[in-house]
Amino acid sequence: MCRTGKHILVVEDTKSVSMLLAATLQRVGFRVDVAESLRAARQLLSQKEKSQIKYDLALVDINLPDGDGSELLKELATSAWCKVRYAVSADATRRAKRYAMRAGADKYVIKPFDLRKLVDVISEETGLRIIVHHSENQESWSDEKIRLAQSYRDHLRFVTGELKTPMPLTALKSRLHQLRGSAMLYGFRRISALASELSERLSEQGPSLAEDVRAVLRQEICVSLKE
Amino acid sequence: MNKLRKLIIMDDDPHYSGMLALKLRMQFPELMVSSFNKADLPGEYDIYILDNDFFGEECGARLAEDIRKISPKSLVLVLSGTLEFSLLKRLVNCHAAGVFDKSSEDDLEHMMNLIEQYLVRIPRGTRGGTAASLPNTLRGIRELMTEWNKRLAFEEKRVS
Repeated sequence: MCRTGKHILVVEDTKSVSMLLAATLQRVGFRVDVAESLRAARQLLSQKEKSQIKYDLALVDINLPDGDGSELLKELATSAWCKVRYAVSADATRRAKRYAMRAGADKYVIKPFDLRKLVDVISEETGLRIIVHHSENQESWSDEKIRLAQSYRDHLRFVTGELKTPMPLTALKSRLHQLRGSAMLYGFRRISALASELSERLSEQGPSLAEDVRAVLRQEICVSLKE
Repeated sequence: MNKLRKLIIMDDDPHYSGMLALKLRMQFPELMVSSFNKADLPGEYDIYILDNDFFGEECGARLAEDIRKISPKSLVLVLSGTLEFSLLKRLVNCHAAGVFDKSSEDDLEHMMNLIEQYLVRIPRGTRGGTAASLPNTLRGIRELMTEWNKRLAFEEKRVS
């Protein structure tokens, strides 16, 4: 259900990334369409054109199985069917960024990205202050609980990826703080307890411990997800 | 006409606020539950649950003070992972009803009890009614101090 009136197109061939992006954006109230190839994206755009629906923002992966996402960015930039375009790529070079921006991207997002920050940036870009009215949701409590639990497991998988690479100390502390609360609510008590302990140790010992914290936390999340 | 009481969860983690909202709706069907992911004022509500940490920035006390200016009779509950005297002092000054540890199931239950007491005590449609009256304020501060004293004693034992 779209609670914000904002419509987003995600063009991404890695299913786990597109599912997580779509679930998170839907969770905060966006309506999301996903295309896994250039061809699928063009088909979607053609359907939307017929029904006069415009996208508020498009996230386009540059490396798609059937071609270059920059081609789609050019098409979107010259049409009136998408207001804002973000290019997404694992290529962090300036050359790649310049190429995507020239094709019509308004922003260049490098993989792996911080999902929370990306959603925040998208919310700002689309002029959205997100207030979700949970009581308006019509699904049953048990269905909602299952959906939330599934979305949380996807989120934990995303966090394991995020923890592979170094991150600013404040971001790591903030992630630990979030996990303390959310893992407890979703029944991952060991993760919650570990996040509390690591948070304290990180405050006491400082940035030198960050790498160990990421490794230990990542291992515990992987083990918990397998159980 | 009976008006639904409004509760808002202010937290930067949509997974936490989503599940907490579900638990609150299951326990208190008479509440209209919303969540907000920014550390600024979302408008007037009867009950506010505030996370002290927004993307690494501690802003629970500032938010609680701002809320008191626009909604003097609301119930304000704060989630925090740290024990800091300055935070406690500011929260007591703006009549916050309690500070809770996000990772504690006991604290979650305690928070639910406070919400229940508030809903039972305050008639519908009065948007807070007498919540900020002197006896209620004193009771809130007393509960807050008792809770923090308990936690400080626990921390002391743990350290020694």
